[in-house]
Amino acid sequence: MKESIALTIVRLAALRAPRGQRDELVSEWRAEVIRELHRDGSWSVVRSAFGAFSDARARRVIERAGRKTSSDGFVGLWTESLRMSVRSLVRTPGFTAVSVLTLAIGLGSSTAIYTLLDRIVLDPLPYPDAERLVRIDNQVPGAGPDAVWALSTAQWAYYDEHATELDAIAVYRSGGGNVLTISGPRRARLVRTTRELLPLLGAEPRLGRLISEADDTPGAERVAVVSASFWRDELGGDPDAIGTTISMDGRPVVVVGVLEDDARLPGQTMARAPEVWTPLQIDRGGTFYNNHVFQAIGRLAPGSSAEAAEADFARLRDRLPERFPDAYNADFFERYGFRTQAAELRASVVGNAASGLWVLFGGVALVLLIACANVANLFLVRMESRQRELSVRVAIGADRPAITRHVLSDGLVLAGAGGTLGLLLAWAAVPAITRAAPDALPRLDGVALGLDGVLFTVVASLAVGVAVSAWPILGRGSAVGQLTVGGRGSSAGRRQNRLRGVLVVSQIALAMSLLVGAGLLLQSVSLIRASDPGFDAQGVAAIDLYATSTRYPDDVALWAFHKEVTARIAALPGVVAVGMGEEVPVSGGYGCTVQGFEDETVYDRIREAGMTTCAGQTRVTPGYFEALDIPLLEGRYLEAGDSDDPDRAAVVVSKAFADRFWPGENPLGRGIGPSGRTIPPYYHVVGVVDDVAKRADAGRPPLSDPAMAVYYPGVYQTTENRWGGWFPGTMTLLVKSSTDAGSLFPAIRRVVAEIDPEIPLSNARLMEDVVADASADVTFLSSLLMIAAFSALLLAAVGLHGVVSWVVSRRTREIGMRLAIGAHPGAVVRGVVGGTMRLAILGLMVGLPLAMLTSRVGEAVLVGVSPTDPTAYLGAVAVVTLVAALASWLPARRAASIDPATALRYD
Amino acid sequence: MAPTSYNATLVLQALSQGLGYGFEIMRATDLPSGTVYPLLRRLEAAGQVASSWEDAAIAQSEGRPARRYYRATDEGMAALAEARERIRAQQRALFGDADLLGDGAGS
Repeated sequence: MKESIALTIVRLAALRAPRGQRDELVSEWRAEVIRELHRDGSWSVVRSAFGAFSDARARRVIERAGRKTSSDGFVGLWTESLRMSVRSLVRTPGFTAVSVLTLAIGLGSSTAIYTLLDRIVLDPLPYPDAERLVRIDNQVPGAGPDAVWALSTAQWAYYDEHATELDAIAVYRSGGGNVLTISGPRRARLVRTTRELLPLLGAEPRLGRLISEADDTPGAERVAVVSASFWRDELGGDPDAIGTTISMDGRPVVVVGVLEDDARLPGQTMARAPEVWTPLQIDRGGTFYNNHVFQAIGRLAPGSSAEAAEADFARLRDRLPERFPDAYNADFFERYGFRTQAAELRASVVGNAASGLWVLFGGVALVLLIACANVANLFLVRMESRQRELSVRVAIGADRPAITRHVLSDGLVLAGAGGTLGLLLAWAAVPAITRAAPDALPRLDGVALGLDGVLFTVVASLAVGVAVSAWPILGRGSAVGQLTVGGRGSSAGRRQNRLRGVLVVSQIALAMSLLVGAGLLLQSVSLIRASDPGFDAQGVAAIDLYATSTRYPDDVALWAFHKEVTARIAALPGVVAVGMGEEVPVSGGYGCTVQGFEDETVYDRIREAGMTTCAGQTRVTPGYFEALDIPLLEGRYLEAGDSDDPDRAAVVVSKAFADRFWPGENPLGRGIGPSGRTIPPYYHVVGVVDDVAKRADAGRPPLSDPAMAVYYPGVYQTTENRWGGWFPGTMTLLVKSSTDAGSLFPAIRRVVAEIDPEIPLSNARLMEDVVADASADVTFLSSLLMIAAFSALLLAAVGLHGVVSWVVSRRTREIGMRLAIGAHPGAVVRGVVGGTMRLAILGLMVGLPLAMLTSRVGEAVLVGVSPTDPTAYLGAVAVVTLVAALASWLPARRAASIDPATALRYD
Repeated sequence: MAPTSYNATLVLQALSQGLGYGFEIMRATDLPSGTVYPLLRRLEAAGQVASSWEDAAIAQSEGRPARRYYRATDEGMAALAEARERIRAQQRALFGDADLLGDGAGS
């Protein structure tokens, strides 16, 4: 009887034990109960059987604890925490939405800019052994502060043979060639190169072969390797295209190869990839001139470095005068500081864009920081309002690690959501940015959000998650610290407020430094916009015209052609002036060609000043100055008669030219010789025109460099020696119209086709666009930075407004009391705004040195503005002050309109 | 590891003296079954107590079911020693030098 009662109790208790332990529990208790009844037999044994319930419960508790700590452990705890965070964040949709959106703006913009930075600046170039490729050119400080000369054939021939640090050097000239196609004449993108270039660029033939050593020998048959797209478009994708002949500049060229993929020159976009590659056929045994016209790419020998290559070049340079006495002398090298340099190809391609993108990246990083500060602040507020909930957690045994984990998981969930949304933003923003980006930005091809960008977002989100939740966790005065260490005293509250103040101050400081940066860039842009390129671009259409020496064997024939073209275009309706020139302001580099001087004293003066006699030698037709409206300062413009009667030997020089060679003297009537010619007959200056801007060198402000130009007429004065091989095949036609210039292009093409159907025209553009494009990269950069700066300002304002609102709501009772005892509402507003302004002023004080530091870092992208220019700083201070005042004035107004009676009831 | 409770110390003490069956422990410590069994479970989960089942053949020969036998592990013995030390110190603080636990030798 006792036994069966006791065993029934045990079996009932077993039902409460974990399923797997029920039998074990019953066996153990049964054995004990039977044994005890046998020994004792009292009812107390039956009473003890109730202990089986405690046993069952203990087993259950232990099993559940074991499941958590041993099977899931760390992951289980975090999964639980994250799930709880999601639940509690969903319950506070306002806070969650604002925080996620804020973080998404910060994370999205930094991911977008990181993607650009990664693809444009950090990624290796798409060539085999890209990290070993170097760009080779010469620094010639004596010819100008930033003068960089390309390689000469003499240098190439000598370096190719003797350089020890390079295992290949390729030189090339990229330009265009007239191709006759079924659809008419076309200007094809042509690269003339030594045979090493295509292998260096990793090009593979789809059909035929690349340029061979035999092809690249003087006198060899003229051959070409064409791009896949040229093969498809112009050769009809003919599988038997190898061996066919194309007409290039009026001469037959045999196609020996078709490239697998279009090979690109460094920095070129796919759309501008060369179409035809022909061998240069440089004669290594021939005569070399001091002609620095070849782009050069070298591949460093394995284990070598650009520095080692430069040291090697220095050694080889000193031997050039001995080997090429006609081209070089030691005196020339010394006087001009001539030095051959090897720069990492990627750096030379990316150039200025690198510093611009880094500055921009710094800008969006600041935005992200501000967003973090904002969310951290919201977090603090939230923690405060959740104090009660957290106290309960502490009371039921949550220790500090548990609370910390809980807060941290809130931050991580927010950052994760922000990161996901940010990724979407970046995914949409990257193509928008690349579409808006100017051509001046290199390597834009195929820039899209990729795995790197996603990885960046993940890492940044994690960091942000930790950062925003760190504030309530860290420190003894922190919310978590108060909960778990001791009660919430007023000193802890004060610490909490100070923390909030620190966040606001740092936000203002960050926003200020961004605003200063944006302001400085804006000044750069307006400076560039305001700078005078020296001519009037309005209503000027420009188009390139390519005449070949096969059709126009001398400049008399060429001039006749040019004269007819300009005359017929001038007759078109709306046309005000027409002219042609080899160089076009702003986009033309003008080069540096040695000039000869009749007056010997010029040489003495130039040598004393440590300068060269080279200048931007260009040929123009009459009408060139009129079409561009380049002001005449002295004498007259060139006219038709100067080419019709070459013996007039008239030349026009720019103001900069006259100032350099005849300072303080009358330049009119002075004698000069083109290309360094120092035997009579000389050309005599008939006019001086104002300076025009040339294409800016890397790192120089656009539209600020005057071209030292000398303008010769189209026909050389004497028949012997012509132009020393200088055939002005490519001329830019400039047409000024009183109507819409862009609509003139069809008529221009028709006129040229009527005169000579084999002359292609290309590169049609409006000079207004050329001028705008010159500053496009700075403009683009500054507009992006502007966007960053204003989002920063907006975020900071939202943050400030939030904090002030919160403070005011906490002080409702106090303010109500003040109003009740007769305080003027104005005094309340002043009090609140004043308190905020103290923080703002502190922020500005921190922001000032920060802004100076960041502007100094970003100095490389500033144009004509000092990084400490006071205007930008004053402007930023004014904007920040205004925004801070506004952000605090709104909640202050609310506070002042509190009804004292309500406020006193309010708790 | 949390310090061993007074009741747990008692259970460990009983085990250390070779009293290894649940009801034996109850009698020795004068603790109810509802305290002893949960303590055994906790100590076992903490690795301070191990258990084994009696050889079924022996039990069968005596005509009763096999019993579960508990003993203190090394960890349990260490915890017991630590707890005894702590309790002794507490007692000294409370009662002076009177050795209430004793080590067999009464004074």
